[in-house]
Amino acid sequence: MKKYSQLLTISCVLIGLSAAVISCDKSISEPQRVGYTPASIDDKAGTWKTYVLTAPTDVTVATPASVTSAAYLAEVADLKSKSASLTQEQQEAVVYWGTGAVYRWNEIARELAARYNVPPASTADGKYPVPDAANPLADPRFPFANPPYTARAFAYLSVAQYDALVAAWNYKYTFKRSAPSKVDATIRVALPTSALPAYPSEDAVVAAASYTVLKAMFPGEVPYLDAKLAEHRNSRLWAGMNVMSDLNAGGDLGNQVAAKVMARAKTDGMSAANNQALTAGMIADAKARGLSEVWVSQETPARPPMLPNYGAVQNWNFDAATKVKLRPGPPPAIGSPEFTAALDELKTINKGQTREQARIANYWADGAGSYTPPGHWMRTAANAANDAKYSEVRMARTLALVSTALMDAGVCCWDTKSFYYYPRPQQFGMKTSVGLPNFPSYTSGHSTFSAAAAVVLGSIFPDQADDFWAKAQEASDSRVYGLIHYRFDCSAGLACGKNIGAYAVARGKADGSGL
Amino acid sequence: MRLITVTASVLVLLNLASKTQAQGLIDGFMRGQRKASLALIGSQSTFDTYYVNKTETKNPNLGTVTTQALTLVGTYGLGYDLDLIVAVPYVRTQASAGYSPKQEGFQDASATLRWEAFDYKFGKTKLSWLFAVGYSVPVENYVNDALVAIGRGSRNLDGRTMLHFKARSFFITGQYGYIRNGQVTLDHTVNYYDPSQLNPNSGSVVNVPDVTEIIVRGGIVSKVFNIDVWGQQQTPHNRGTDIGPGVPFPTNAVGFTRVGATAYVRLLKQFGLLAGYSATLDGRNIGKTTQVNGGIVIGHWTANN
Repeated sequence: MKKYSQLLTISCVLIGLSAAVISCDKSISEPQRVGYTPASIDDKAGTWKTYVLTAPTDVTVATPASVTSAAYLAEVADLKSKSASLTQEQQEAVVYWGTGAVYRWNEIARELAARYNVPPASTADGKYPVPDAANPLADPRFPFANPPYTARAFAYLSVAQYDALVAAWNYKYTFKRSAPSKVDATIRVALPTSALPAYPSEDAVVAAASYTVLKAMFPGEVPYLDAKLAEHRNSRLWAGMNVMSDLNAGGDLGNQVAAKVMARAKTDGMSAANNQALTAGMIADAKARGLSEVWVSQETPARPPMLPNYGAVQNWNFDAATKVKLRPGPPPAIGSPEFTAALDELKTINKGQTREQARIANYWADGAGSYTPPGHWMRTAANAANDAKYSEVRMARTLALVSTALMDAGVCCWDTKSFYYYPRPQQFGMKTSVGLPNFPSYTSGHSTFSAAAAVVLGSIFPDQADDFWAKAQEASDSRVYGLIHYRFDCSAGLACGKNIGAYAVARGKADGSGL
Repeated sequence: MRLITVTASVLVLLNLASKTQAQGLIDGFMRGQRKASLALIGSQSTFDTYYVNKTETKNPNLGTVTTQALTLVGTYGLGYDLDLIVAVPYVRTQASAGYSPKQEGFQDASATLRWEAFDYKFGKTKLSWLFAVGYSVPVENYVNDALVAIGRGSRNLDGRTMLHFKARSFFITGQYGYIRNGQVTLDHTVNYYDPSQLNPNSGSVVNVPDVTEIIVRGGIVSKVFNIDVWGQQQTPHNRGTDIGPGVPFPTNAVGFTRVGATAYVRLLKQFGLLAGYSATLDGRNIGKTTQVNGGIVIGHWTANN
């Protein structure tokens, strides 16, 4: 038997060590983005070309009270009381929203996309129920925020934000009402202020426009979006940045713009995107053009293809005839030397995928439960614009150019997929660890999306153009490494995406921004 | 006996959930000063049902997942009351349906120090109190967030204490352990911002929930054979996630209740064979596995000391 004293000592040491191990912090800390003074306030943005509005004056806003009026002074007094002392929670809200209105609402959209990117499960009888917009929280939830759906949601969100901000800039410089803290220096402000006129509030404009679009795109999230909208507006009061009439005018303006943008959404053809009755005709047409083996769902039970008629949805930066011209030429015939060479490349990877190939495949997979490849590129775009200290309106312009190019890429790619109805490599024995997309192979969606986004971003940030293109190339390669696309799916997708991006670039060059 | 038990958990690596610990089933029998043994154990575990949170699920796009492992375990008595146990498994895992590729490679190497802090003998019976501390680390940079993977890729610290009672050839051991799992870096970024996901920002680093473990083992030991039965319950200590689209598998809260039996027979003085079986009764974010294993033991086998 050992000595009790020794036992006691060692036990104490062990208990101490265990306590240290169990209690030490496991939190993950990552750098947060914070507010900044924009590099330029873009005072001429009220003249920039809008997407859905024909002119900023399509929407109206009331003439504000003068800064010497009793009504305004009462608002200032109210603002002072609200911003004088903040709770911890209010301070956090100020910092969070201070990063940028467009930035945060885009981030919220990405998160909603990730939450809703869940393919409906099959029922006991082997059927896949279709999500119902009128009953969004029933199983399966509406929407299934797959890449085409998400690309469209981002496009409408960004267009509404941009058009609303252009209109807001127009009225800001019409009325030129200064920020409250410039009127009364005793107001406590928690965020950097610029020379930008405060009426109507750009934050309230973005909040209202984003809220309306996201509520339509994610109808099951109304309480969540209500809370975000209220917090965003309140954060401007807590931060001492806007009086209530700035916010109310912004909210009114944002709502008017969003209503016009959503009117376009209702008639853009999305409601027919999942028309499964069309697939028989698509298959027959592809066979008539000489395709010997068509794409077949590899899931058990077989799942209907994702949005087979999304290719008919209205584009942003070109018309339907141009879309047909942009469609890549046919893929190699199955069994042809070109096809065999591409399949052999996949077979080689299948036998000995390197860790780096697996990493690249996983990094870009952006599959179920993620914010999809369009979300991946929206994040890249938002971060680049944030790094460049863009004003709200220039941030919105950047995201509108990128997101409309992404949606155009999705439409063209789905048009191509339905047109050729080409089988996936899994129909020839390939495995994959990145999730098998449930629609035809040719062309690669990742490649088309990525090339379009990279071309637009490269035009906005020329010094990073090579880096964006390298990322697009890697995203494209990732689908070969993941064994779900032939090389020719990816190279044709990249080329097509590049052409699609060029239309958004041309629009950006001609939008009056001089950027 | 110990060798069997050490590996029993190494080999039940589940691909829909975090790995269990190599040192998870350390027993109460000390090796003995400057005595050594080496075991090579092969195992196969399978499941066609898994638990999403606590709900049993089958997936026709996964079929039956089979994990085979070959594990080398060495044990050495550094002192009469201090043992060092090291283990290295080579793992291969594959699904019978769907399109997940086979994964294989060295998984996590572990080293454990076991210390018999206290022993009290009266007559033919003996009561001992032991402590063990182990550390495991991935040998290879394997993929840690796939439906079919060989492990979760975290570095883990395992602390446990045991009460071991032996009367003639009968023994019973009870132990309690806490396994601290380190953070892991995924190949991709996490797309959720919800703090309850344990991975609040949009990075690639995620937490692997810690677990606690209770094991009770009892059986008979003799000069030529040992046989025992055991039950193991692992419980997540931290809040984690449940299996779901976009949820990184390493963040899942994993728990299970398993029972098993092991047998050892000595054929020659320095050579013996062992075999084992285990089954999962209940689980959380893990496969409902059954496992068989068998192996050879070379060296001094002194379980009956």
